[in-house]
Amino acid sequence: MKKILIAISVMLFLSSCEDEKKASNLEVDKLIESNKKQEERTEKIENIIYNIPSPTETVSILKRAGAKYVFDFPNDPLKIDNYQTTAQKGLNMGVYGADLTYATVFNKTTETSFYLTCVTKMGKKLNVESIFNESVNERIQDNVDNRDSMQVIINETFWELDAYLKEQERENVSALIIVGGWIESLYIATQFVKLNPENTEMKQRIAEQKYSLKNLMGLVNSSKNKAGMEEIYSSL
Amino acid sequence: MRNLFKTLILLAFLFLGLNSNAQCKRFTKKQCIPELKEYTFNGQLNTAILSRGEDAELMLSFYSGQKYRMYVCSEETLEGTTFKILDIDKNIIYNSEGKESNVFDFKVPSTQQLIIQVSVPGQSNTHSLDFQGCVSVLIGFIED
Amino acid sequence: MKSIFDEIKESKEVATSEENADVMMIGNKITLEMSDELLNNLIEKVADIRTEIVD
Repeated sequence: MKKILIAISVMLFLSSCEDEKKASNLEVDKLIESNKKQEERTEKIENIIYNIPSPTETVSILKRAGAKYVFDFPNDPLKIDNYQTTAQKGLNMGVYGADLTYATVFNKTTETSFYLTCVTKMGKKLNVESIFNESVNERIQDNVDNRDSMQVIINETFWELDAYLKEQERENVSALIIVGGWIESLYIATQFVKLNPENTEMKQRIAEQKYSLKNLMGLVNSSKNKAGMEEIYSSL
Repeated sequence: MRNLFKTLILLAFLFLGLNSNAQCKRFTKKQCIPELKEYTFNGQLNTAILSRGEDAELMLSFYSGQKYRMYVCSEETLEGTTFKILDIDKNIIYNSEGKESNVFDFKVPSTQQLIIQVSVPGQSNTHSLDFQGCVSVLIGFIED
Repeated sequence: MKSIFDEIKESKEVATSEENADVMMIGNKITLEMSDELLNNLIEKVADIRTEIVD
């Protein structure tokens, strides 16, 4: 199973190394060549787009299927300092984002604050702190008791994050966040059904995730993360 | 001299790429997202920079038990942009051609993948920036 | 390469497109069947992958 993380780490490292190398590599020929490749990849991504429902939509669906807030399900906020590699940071940004949504949808204000702190901290670790700025934090603090407004703010903020990462040509990080969020939502659903095996609607919602997995494969195939996703796919 | 020329081309590419993405983001935020109104924006980023005569295809999944608003929002340079919705077997199940707007409200009987084909009319050989623009496909949802 | 999800049985009825008073209904009626064995397998696999990510 370690292969999964290793493969994801490799694909992510490859990409983040590319970013870091840019500044030091002064050979214009090489840069033009790599830019050409980037252009080709961007063209592919831009013309065939794959996407999956956001954790907000999925968690709302799970709530309607009878899910409850179980304190043991989300990731431990204290683990945030353990995540050092780009792969770990990207995937766990997705995990904490889904946990933030889970707390918000179930009106758990204390947990919402915990996971908001995690997401903001992870934003700093991923060098995207400009997205989780003062005004976003103020908006969130003002609306922490208003579930509907919170969902809107979270969705808009993650949209900004996705757009920013693509602007910075860090599509790989964006794909990892989406994968992490999807796994966490699926984890919450499967853990719930484990406790409540008679819940047929929840089983149905879990089975429906086969479509999201297909789209996720398409998304990852469009970027450079194919190898890592194939590992996840074969594990599932 | 040759290297300087290459550097300038490279910088131009990088600048145009970043600039068009940023422009697309601003456009989507200001002009498109507000049109979802009472529907909750799902936070998906489905944007493409297209030229006249170009198509884009999206593969998205939709849950049963929700109402959806899809808005295919394009910049003025891409006037006349239309979209079709196809099922997974490529049967056309909705066509926006001839409709008043590119906003479409719908629901699905079962959770499924749908294909959205966006088409910008015109000749495909016009790659000038004047004929390029941003297209955003936005999805909002609401409990049925 | 086959995933657990591919083993979920799927039956599809002819596409329906109906307009009602509310909003248009589009797409196919699809029935998914997942055995308990498959579900248990999935629960385990998802927990393993998630552990790899968060631990």
